[in-house]
Amino acid sequence: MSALRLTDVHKRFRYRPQRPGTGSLKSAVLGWLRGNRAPKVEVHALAGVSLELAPGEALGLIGKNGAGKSTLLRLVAGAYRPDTGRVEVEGRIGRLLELGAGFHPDLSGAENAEIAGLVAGLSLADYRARRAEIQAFSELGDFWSAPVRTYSNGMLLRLGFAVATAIEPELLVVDEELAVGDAGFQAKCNARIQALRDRGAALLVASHDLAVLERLCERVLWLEGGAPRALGPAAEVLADYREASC
Amino acid sequence: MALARLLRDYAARGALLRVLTRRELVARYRGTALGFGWSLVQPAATLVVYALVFGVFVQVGVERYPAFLCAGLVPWTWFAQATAMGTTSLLGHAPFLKHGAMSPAIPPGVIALATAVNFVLTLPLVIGLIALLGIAPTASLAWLPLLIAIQALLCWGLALCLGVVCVPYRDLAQLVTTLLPLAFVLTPVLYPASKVPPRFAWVLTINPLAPLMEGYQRALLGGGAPPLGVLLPLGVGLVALTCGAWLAERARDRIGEEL
Repeated sequence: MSALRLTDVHKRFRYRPQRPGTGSLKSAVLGWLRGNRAPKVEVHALAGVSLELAPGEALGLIGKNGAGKSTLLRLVAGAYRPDTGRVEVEGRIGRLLELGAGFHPDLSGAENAEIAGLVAGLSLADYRARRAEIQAFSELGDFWSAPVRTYSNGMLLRLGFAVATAIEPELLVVDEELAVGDAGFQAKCNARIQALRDRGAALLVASHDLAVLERLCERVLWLEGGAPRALGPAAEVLADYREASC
Repeated sequence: MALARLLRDYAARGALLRVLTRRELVARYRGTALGFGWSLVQPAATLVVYALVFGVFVQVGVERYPAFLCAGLVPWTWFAQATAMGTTSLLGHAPFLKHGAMSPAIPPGVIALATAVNFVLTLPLVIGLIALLGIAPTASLAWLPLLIAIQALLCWGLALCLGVVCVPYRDLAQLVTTLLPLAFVLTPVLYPASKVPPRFAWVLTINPLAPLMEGYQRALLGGGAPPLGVLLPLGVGLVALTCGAWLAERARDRIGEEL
């Protein structure tokens, strides 16, 4: 049994580029009538990615900006559907993507945490059972009941991280969200991720911080232009990547 | 069937629907001194304006016009709010939808629920105000739950269709806010249906909101049962909900890209 399996996944995005001097309703209508709208551009964001992740295993994603790391994470999270190929996920997904993005600025941390917990898939009873733990983990003190708009960036991320990991996922999807807070809190985050992995959670993490990937991951997937350039033991792939980047 | 799956979606995420509805209701007035009072001030001001124009300056010729106006204006405000907010509901909940954690059918349900709760909370004040304006409550009020149920269904269905379509076609939000005032004057709220000249009667016949608003006027002003025409908004609501369920299901795969 595997926590995640991707079989020859392809994903293309199409969009119509804006020509200079266009973008108004008038030019859009005229362009459409004359049939000379800018042609759609297709981006092959993922070109044939296959991988398998065992429970408890950690896989790192590396590659330049635009190589397809975020697309891959979002496909796994269920936000996109692949054009061809299959994405199979076993169990609950913990999404550490844009932490705190859904928080309402005028509501308190407590209220936002409840909403985020339920959105992430907890039942109300499950959320209530974990509330004290989330509150303690996020280290917000009196700010727990203050409006989120009064929070610092670090506080927002801490609360987001606390909720996203409290759901005890079978698969954790992380996009550059491991550098949360100060050194003390980072250590706590790492301990939490390790605890989840010990319980059998698999980890899929994209990062530009190669040291983090080296420490966390058994294997690394190197993406280039949407296609896998290398997939193998972390030390080897990272060494090749470092060499190619110099 | 898409509709059955939609209802199962809602049932499975009842608690989420509740907290998001509370978020919608609480967040809107959080930090204001008047709080929920603001949801009363705006319709009250509109009421005063129309009562002055059509009850005093230009007389529509309805006895106890302010009471009549109040009976239609408050449910209309619910409809207008639910439709306008429902249209932008998926865009407004984008951070929750973008990562695939939630069905796109949830936000329109949240808006339909939040605006319905808002209306029900306002209703005792409406009944009190109408009594103050000279029409005492009668047994006709017993028809209100039926009317509210029909309107909630209609708002839910429309919010679902409009909300899903508005994600790829953002013009829809502008279109809806432009068309709502037009729908308002074509619905007997400012004037009774009986004052419409016969050659324009068809406008009210095809307008599903007309029998609904007439129903409220009868229920709140002691006029008995709603017209049989309330079956029209019921039917439109059911059709809209079915279409919406289908649209939401089809949108599920591409909503993450379009938001």
